[in-house]
Amino acid sequence: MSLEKNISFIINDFGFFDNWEEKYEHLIDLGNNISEIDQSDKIEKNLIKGCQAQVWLICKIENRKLILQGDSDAIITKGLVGLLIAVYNGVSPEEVVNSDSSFLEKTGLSKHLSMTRSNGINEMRKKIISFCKNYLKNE
Amino acid sequence: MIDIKKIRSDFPIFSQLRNNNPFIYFDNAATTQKPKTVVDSIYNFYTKYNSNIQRGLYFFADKAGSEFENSRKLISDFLNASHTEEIIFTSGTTQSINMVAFGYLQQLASAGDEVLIGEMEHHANIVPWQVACAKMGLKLTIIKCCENGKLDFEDLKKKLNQNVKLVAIQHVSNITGHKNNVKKIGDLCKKNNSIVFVDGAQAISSQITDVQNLNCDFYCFSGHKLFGPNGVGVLFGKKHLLDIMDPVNFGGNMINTVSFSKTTFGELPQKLEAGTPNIAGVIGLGAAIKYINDIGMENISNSEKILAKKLWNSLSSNKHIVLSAKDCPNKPICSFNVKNKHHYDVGSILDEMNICVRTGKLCAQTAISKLNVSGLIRVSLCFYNTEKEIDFFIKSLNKAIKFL
Repeated sequence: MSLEKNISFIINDFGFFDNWEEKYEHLIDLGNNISEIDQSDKIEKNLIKGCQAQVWLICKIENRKLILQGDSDAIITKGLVGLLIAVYNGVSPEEVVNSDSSFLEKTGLSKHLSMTRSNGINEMRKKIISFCKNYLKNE
Repeated sequence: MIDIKKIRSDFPIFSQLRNNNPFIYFDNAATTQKPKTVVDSIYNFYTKYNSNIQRGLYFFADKAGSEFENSRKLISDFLNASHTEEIIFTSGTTQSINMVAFGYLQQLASAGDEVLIGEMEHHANIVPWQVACAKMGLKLTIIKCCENGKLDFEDLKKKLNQNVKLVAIQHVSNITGHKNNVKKIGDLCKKNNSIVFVDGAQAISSQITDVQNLNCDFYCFSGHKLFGPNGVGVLFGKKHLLDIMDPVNFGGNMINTVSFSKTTFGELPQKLEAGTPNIAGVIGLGAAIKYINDIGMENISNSEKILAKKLWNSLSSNKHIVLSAKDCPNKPICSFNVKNKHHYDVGSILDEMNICVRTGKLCAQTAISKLNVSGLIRVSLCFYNTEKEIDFFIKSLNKAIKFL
């Protein structure tokens, strides 16, 4: 799966929705569709700092592809986790490291994300990118 | 009675639309909006007589200096202080508390002595005392709060002893909007010879504050929560206490004579106002006080009581809502959770509906722990809000609950 393809699917999907209610409903659906993580993984190490809600994110590399799992106690943040999973899952670590956050703009979501919420998603992206950087360094 | 239409038009921010719709500002406990007279006073300072004070002999400096001192006089009268020099300009509540924790506490207490603070204070009224106590080897003791976030008077009575040198409490809770009986608490502490420090950040904009009647030793607040600008605040202290208080900042303006062998400090209030002050901010705060005086604090207070009752009744009758207080607050602040919904989700959807509320830990993590929640949604109103806005808010909240 390439990053570009993932992003174009997502932008395409969000393009169907005109108003904030529909965009949010879709975002919440993205969160509902992610596979649950084990209760034992909901630990400090996997917690993202800087979010008002609790967000756990687990990064793994399998066959040189990023595998993301996550969860949140708030459904909108869980949707944001789902969005990042849809963007980055199955992508090579090189592509992740070289990616930017312009997809948020293109989905039309960024204008709905207030400062605190976009800080949260930035913290999640930072964790994903730094995990991939570390992987490449130690490979 | 206040003329709400006229009041709304005094605040330029309310004339704008967001996504072609009016917005509702219900986060007044975080900061209040500014009337045009405050904005104009700052604009006038910078465009007509910008200069430093207490130095130049020229007419600009004279005008700036007299406007600056006029603000001090206005605030002194506003608080009914006995002396104008009991008003010290600071950058806000946080700095005011730090000045007393690090400039006065060591005059008063020595290792083994105690400081008492409330269980549900804002971080600003916890952390400075905590750090100062740790530095000086003092014991920090916590006074319990009861159901509405008010101080438990019986617990305070129990904990007062001859080692307690200072008691720091909030006047009004930023979580529940309930008011502590500062006078009663102060009288009890006085009998114990303990100094009383009051964080007035949430009280100042809603009621007449008479520091002599309250009989507190220190009282502080931020200008931005009183319709004034950011970065300016006040520390009131009884003159004989401020006289012996050590400055925490040293430099220009606060000195009498300077030589390499010895520097002597100036008189009050300059001794505690080192460096060039926030002149525009102080002048803006003066304009805010004039604005309040023109409307009348009693009128403001009465309008807010009506809003508090309406807000409380609307929320407490909603079966989806769990409020953090048991009774209607003194000030229109209510914090709550929606059953089975995260405060973050509710706040996000309200934002889409053009309603500004605060969510999260509200700068009061110890209070949040005591309430046994992960966070709260807080709505805080002010005299410029309307009953119609409350109705619209409740309707929107119900929609948000349904959506989530």
